[in-house]
Amino acid sequence: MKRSRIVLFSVLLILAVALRLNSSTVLPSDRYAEGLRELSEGRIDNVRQIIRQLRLGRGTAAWGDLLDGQRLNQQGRFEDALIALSGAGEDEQTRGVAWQTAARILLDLGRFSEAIPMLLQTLQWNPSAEEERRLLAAAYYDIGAMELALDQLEEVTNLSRDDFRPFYMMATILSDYEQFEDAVPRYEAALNLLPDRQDLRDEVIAGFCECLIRLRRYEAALRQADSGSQRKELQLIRAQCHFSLRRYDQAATLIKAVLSEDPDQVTALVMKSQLMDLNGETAAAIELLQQVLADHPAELEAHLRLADLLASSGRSEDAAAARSRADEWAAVHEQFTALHQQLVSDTENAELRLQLARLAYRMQRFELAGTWARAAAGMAAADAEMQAEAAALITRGQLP
Amino acid sequence: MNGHGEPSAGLLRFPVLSLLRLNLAGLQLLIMCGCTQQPSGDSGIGGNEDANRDIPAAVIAARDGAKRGGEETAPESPAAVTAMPFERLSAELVPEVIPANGSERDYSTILESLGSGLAAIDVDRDGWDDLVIAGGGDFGNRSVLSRPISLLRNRSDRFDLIAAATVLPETELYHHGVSAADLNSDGFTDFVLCGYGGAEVYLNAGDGTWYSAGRLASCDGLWCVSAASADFSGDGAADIFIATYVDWSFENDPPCYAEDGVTRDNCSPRLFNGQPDQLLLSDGQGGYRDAADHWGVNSHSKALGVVAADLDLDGDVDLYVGNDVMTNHLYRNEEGRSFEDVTVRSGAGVSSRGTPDASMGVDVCDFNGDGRPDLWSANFEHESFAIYRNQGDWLFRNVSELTGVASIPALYVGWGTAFQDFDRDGDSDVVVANGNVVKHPAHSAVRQRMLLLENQNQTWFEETGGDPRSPFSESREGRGLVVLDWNHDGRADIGISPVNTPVELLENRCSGESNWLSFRLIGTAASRHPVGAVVELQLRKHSMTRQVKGGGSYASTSSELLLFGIPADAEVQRLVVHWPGGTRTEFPVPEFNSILTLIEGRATATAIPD
Repeated sequence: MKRSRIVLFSVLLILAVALRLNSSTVLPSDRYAEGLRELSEGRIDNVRQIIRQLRLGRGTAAWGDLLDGQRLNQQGRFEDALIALSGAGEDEQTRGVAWQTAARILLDLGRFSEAIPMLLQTLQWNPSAEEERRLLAAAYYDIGAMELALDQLEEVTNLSRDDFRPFYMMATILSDYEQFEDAVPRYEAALNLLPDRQDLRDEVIAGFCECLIRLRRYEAALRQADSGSQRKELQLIRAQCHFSLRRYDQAATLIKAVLSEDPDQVTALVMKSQLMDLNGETAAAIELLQQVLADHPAELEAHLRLADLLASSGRSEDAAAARSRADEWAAVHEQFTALHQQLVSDTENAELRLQLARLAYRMQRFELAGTWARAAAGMAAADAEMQAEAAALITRGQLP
Repeated sequence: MNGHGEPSAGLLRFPVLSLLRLNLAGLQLLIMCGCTQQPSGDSGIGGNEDANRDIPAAVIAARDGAKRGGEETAPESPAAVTAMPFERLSAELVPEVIPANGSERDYSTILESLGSGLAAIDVDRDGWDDLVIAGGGDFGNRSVLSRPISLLRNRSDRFDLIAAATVLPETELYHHGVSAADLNSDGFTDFVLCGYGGAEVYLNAGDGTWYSAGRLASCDGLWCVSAASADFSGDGAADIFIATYVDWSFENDPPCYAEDGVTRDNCSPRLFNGQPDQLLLSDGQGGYRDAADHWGVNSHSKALGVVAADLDLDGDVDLYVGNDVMTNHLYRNEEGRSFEDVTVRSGAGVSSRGTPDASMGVDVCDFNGDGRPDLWSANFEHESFAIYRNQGDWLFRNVSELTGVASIPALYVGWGTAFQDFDRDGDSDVVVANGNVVKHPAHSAVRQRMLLLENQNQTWFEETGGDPRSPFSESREGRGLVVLDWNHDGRADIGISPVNTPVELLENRCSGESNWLSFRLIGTAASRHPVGAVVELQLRKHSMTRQVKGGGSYASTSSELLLFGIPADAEVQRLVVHWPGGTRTEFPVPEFNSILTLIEGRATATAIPD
């Protein structure tokens, strides 16, 4: 008796909800939007209620799944979120957002091999889906498929004409691949579109300046750097420009400022050693570089400069030994470069990414090692051995 | 010659050297807080309310900039340096000779990239340097063809074009390099012609004609580009080092494309394997023995330039080889028995970043006046030309940045090059002929300006020649380059052989109160053409030196005369020649402004008549 009463109550409740949904003019998309607002304000009970209502409504279950996916995502329950979103992906109305959200989660999880096809499919349905293009570009970037990333970014700039980010990302990629002339106008565009945030401006300026320095346009680089703040990265760039323009006093002042903020800044230390050498303090410069290399044995430029100074001071055999060590590191760098070159065309090779991670780790570029290890793991989810090695590289990379 | 025309358009065409800073996760980069990003998970997917907004100027500028490929980026304002006046001699004085590469046939092969050189040779020993000009090559029906070599005879006030057939046997080589030396020690200058498929020796008959002594057997089938002749073994006979390039053939000719991914263009050397350089030791009787393996110089590199000189001043002749997209090689001669590869130890094989450059032309010169020969290489765009200061004990230091060489704008592709005291201020300046290797470069021009870098106080190089009326302001597809004093006025002139445009002679019109001396050296105990011999002019406070070199530049040979510019207030106190093998001869201090022959073991100098 009691049980039948419960059943009856449930049926009535469902009917009431259904009647309410049907009788009201509230669209499920509006309820979903309302749910998102509640979610953003942390009122989870309300969200749950809306999800329940949407799931019970006629033809609105997918919206409920979608909202549930967002909730679970926010709570860090990514696998559950993906299950909920897969339900939302069944309905044409919610499919776009569901897949986009799922793709974003997969990218956050580093599961590139699942995210990329999902984004590609979404773009087939809706070629002007700006956010999906942006995510796809980011995914390609993260796995090192730079040609593909550039193609997508080019599309993003067509869709989103006042966003600095695709320009900045294109500029970064092009600089990395030493296409400095192509990078310059992208940096300029990014700078012109930047929001009013000094940290962003500084970051873009720093990249732009490095590009200009590689083009040996030191005065232009200096002008750009001077339009930024006094943060150490820009001070270092200013120092490099002054050094190349033979304004050694100015370079020395800037180097001193950088090192007072970050005594371990390798580029600044190497430049300092060069300035010391120019001042006739070769022995001290050698000592400085030896200290740098004790802490950073993989720093190729420090090896090279040390060899130069040892040769200058008549320590021939020490110089030859330093050259030999530099040559060994140069070979590692060359191998790293060659592997990077392969990435461009070999866009689906996880092992290649893992090799890069190993090399980056050897070169003490731990952040980079982590990036490539994540890429490898994200491209070979079923390869337990690779997952384990990638995880180890990521973990070890965080330790130093 | 890196960074162009690989099969896949786009990034693959470019070197990836700076990727170490690729440490931003793309997702982070794109999600970085920006003013226009859609909130994550927002239902507003696909919508773009700004779709019809006017395109910001910055975006237009960016896109226009991206499309502007091919324009030469304007270099930053040069420092105020007085231009050195050079005038191109008119066609009346220098008859038209056009080296060609067959590019009009549209095969777009890497063979077209190299162009060809020339040599300043006093053909008939009348005292005046003539010009032997490589003709280059052509294509027909997917085969490689030769073009004739030309001779411009110096009549002291003009050059006459001598019909090739009357003085030279026809060659079958599509050729690049003319490496001149007295190979058989008969007093007349011979040459080695380097080309695709081999190298051929031409001996001077002494009557103004040459005859072929045949192909160098070990070079058959190899793509030979440049050569350097010197007595490497110390037996008095001139040996030959041949720089070989890559294994391209019509059977190994992948299609390569320009930036647009559609237009065919010349391929990058990165697509091909390097070939073994060759060392031919003379038996003194006209025969040569292949010694590359035994002497340790058979590197499978992609060599374009080579210079032979005594770099450690120990009396034997060493080698510096400029390789394309690979580490350059420095070989130390071990007392005429073999070469030791001292590339790594020396530091002269790589850029200041420790990476290989793409080197074409090379030279040797004591630019800082410390008595030690320094090294120079002209490199590809984005790479700095490289100057390596000799620190002694086979240690060199890349001082491109410290000497201002690295401050030259980054878009030049350097080929023929030579050190010479063009302004006669007592130190050596340097000139470089530039031109691109592809037909459709993305950013730099196909035709490029030459660069004349003035040595300032032996510490710094500053570009001069930027006067718009100067021939240095004109753009060409520069390749071969030689230095000679064509009219015996004591000013170093420049001969150039661009691709598909006439050979030019740029006459040096520098004025000033300075003096000069010019010397031709003849070895007796040493090889007659005494590569490695050093002329030392001792002044009151310091010495000036010049060395006889083999090869150098790119596919070219400069005059054998060693020209010294001497500041007006300088006084020469001694003239000493240090000969290969270790002997030295002191000569009486000569009158200024004369050309003299200095013979090993004789204490008198002979004037070369005007």
